Amino acid sequence: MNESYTIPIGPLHPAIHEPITLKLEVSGERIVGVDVFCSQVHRGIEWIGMNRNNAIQSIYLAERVCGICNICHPLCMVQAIEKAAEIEVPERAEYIRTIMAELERIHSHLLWAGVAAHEIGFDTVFHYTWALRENVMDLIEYLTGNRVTKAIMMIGGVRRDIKEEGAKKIKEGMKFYLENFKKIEEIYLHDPTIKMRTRDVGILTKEDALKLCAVGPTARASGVPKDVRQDFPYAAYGDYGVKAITPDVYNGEVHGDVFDRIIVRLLEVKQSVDIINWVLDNMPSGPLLAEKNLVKLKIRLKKAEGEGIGRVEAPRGEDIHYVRLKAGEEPFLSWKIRAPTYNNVLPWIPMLLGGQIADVPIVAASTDPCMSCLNRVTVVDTDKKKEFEITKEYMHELSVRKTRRLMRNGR
Amino acid sequence: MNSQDIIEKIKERFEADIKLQQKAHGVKKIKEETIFVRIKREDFRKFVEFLFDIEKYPHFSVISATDLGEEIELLYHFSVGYGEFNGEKMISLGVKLPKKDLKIESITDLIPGALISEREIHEMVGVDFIGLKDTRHFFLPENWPEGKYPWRRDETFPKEMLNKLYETWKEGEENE
Repeated sequence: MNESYTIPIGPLHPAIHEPITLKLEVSGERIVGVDVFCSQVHRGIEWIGMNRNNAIQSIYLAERVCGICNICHPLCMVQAIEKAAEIEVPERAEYIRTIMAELERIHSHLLWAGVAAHEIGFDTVFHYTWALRENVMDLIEYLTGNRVTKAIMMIGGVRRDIKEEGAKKIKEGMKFYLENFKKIEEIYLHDPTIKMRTRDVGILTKEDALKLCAVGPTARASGVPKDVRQDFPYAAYGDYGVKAITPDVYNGEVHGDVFDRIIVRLLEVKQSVDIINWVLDNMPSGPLLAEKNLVKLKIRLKKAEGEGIGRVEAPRGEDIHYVRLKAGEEPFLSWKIRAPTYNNVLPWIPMLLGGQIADVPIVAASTDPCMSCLNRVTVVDTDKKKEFEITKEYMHELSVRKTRRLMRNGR
Repeated sequence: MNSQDIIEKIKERFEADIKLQQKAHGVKKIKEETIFVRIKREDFRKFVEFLFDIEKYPHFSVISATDLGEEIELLYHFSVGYGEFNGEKMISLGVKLPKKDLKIESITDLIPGALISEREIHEMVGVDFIGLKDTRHFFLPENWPEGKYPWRRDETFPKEMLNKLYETWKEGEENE
C-alpha cells in the first residue's frame, strides 16, 4: 500500500479527555504527517481581566484558568502585579507560596503518572498512584480549605498561615511520600512492559526542544536543563537553590523519549519533597501580607501605572503572565496568560512523526497537556485519501492491545 | 552574560528605550532581572537576529498585545541564559505598530516555536505577519467573522457577540 490516509482523532483528546484535535496523516500504521487544532473552548479569560474585573477579582479568575495549576496561575499573576505596582512581598509569604506550589507539583505529577499508566493499560497502577495522590490532596485541603481552587494567593502575600500543627502534618505527609517513593520507582522505572512501551517512543531531540521552545519536564527530558525555579528564581527557590533535573542524573543517558519524561517527573516528586522539608525548617517569621486592608490595596492598584512579568515553573513547565496597569483604571490595560502547554503542543509533531497510532495516547499524554490552559486527532490516510475520526475508546483499546502484545511476545 | 553587558550591547547597536526591572525574592534577596526594550519597527528583525549572538537558541515565551488607541504595541518575551542558577534574563522586546498599518516580519523562520503565538496575535488583534505561511485560526473557530478582533479596544471588537458567543457555532450550518 503506497497511499496514505488522514485520521482525525478528536474532538476530544484521547488521553486527557479534553478538547484538542490532532490530524494525523498515516501510511499503513506509520504516522507521516501531524497537524494540531485547538479553537474549540477559548474562554476569553484575558478579555474579562482587561474589561470587567478589578485586579483582586482577577486572582480568582486566574485560579480558574486550570483545575490543576491553580496555584501557579494566580501566583504568576500576583507576581506580575507586584512588579507593576512595586509591592514588596513579606518573606514568610514567599515561603508559604513555595510550599503550596510544590504540593501542587507532587499532586500534578502523581496524577500524570496515573494517567500514563492508564493509557498503556495498567489500571491497577493507575488506581494505586491516585490513591497515593489522595494524601497530598488531603494535605492541601487541610492547609487551604479546598482541594481544588485553593484561594490562598493575594497581591502582596498569601491569605493563610501555616501554623505549627500544619507544619507537623506536612512533615508527616512528606515522610509518607519518601517511604512510598521506592515502590513507585520500582513500578514505573523497573517494570519491563512500561519500559518496552515507552523507551525510544515519541522522541524529542534536544535541538527540536530548543527550536520549538519546549518547556518544563518535556524540555528537561530531552536534556535541556531549563527550569524557571533554577534560572529565574522567585519566591523561596533562590534561597534553596533548585537544580534542574534531566534524565542523565538517574541513569547517565538522555533519550528524550516518553520513558525519560517519566524519570524526570518522578524525580521531581522527590525534589519537591526535599524542597518542602527545607522550606519548613527555614521558614522566617513575620507578616503574611504587604497590605492587609483590601480597600487600600485596591486604591493603590488603581493609582499604579507600570508593567510586570510573572514567571513560575508550573508542574508542566514555564508559566508566564504579562500585566500592564494604567493609572485610574481598575481592569488591566493588558493581560496575557501563556500556559506551558501552549509551548508543548508544537513538539508533538516531531514526537509523533514516524510512530504508530497505538502510541498516540501515551506520546500525547507524555507532555502532560492541559487543554483548559490552552484546546482534537484526525487521521488522514494518504494512501486512500480518506479521512476518519478515531474515538478515544478505540484509540485507548489500540494502546492497551499493543501493551498486551508486547507483554506476550516481548520477554 | 549579565544584564549590564546585554544593555551595553543593545545601546551600541540600536536606538532603543531600555528599562531594567529588578525584583528581589526570599531571605537572601536574590534578584531576578527583566529588560524591557522598546525599538523602532525597522530594527525589529535585526534585534531578533542579535539575540542569536547572545545565545544559540534564545527562548521565546509569548507575544502580548496592548491596544494603545492609535497604536498596537506588541511585546515579544524572550529569555536568554538558561541552565545556570539565576542566570536567565528576560528580554521583552516592544514594537509599536500604527493601526493603519498593522504589519511586522514573522520570526517563525528563526524560531519555529513562535508559530502558535503569531497565529494567535493574527486572529485576536489582526496583525499581519509578513512571511507567516500558516494563518489559519488556532483558538477561534474556523467560521469566525472576518475583521473582528476580540482583544482590540475599538470598533473592530465584536460587541454584538458579547455574552452570546455560542451563536457563532449554530447547529445545522454547513461548516459545523
